[in-house]
Amino acid sequence: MSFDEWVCFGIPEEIIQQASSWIAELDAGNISASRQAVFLHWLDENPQNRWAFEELSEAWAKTSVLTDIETQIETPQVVPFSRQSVLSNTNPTSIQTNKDWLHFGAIALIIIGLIFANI
Amino acid sequence: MKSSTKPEDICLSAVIEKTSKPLKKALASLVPEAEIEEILQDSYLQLHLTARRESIANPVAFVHRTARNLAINRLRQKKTSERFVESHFANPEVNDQSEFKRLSLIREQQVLIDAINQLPPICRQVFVMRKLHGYSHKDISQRLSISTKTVENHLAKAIVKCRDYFVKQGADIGLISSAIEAA
Repeated sequence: MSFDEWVCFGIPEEIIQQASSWIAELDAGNISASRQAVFLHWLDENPQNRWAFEELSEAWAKTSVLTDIETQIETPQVVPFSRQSVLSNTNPTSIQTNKDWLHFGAIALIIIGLIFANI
Repeated sequence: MKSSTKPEDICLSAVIEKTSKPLKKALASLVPEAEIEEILQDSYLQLHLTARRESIANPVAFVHRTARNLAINRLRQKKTSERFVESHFANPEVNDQSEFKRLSLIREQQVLIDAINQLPPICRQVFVMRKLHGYSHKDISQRLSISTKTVENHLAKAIVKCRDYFVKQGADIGLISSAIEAA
């Protein structure tokens, strides 16, 4: 499982949130025996619980190997859009820009015309 | 020498008894009804075959996991034809497998960076302190003057939000590939 759309695919939001809470609680590393029993019971209660927990745990574990990308986090220049949304927006934006320039050009011509008419 | 009731058979029927009903219910949200039975049979078969080679600590977990993988593989395959068009257009020069793998790794890492960057500031800071700097929950709570429970809540929120972001990314790719196919 990787960082893709299949992580927790088809699993209800509520279960995803429960699984995330368990990962965070286990990550603290000081879970009591009674809480651990509750956790194991939750895990076996429903196949979807285990699916959500295992898939999110794997993604969570994978993020530990990210130290080399630290410079790319929390810096303003990395925050912008994904490549996909830039790609899908390219055409409408450039057409829009051209229209804006047309309007601007037309108004400029009218103004120039008025100036010359007055002269 | 082989008796008619081998230990793994007994184990298998107990596992089937315990798992088939909840699995059917859970699989119903993933695949069409006609495929559920097939996936179940395949999962039990894999359990049976694997159990002959090695001991399986938790057969129920094994079956759950296998069924999920089989279902997701089917869903993935259904999307492959759309995705092929997209990847072919995106990387026409990529021929060898290792180069393709390298590019997917870079892409995967980029998605993760973007996912982390879209987290709310405090949530992102807690996440970075924990996962990149390796601070304990207690250290983080002291440095940010918040409770350890709040640290936990921020981390849980970060996991949910990153996952939401992966899903959104996947949907974007799907839209582009169907747009290319329609063109």
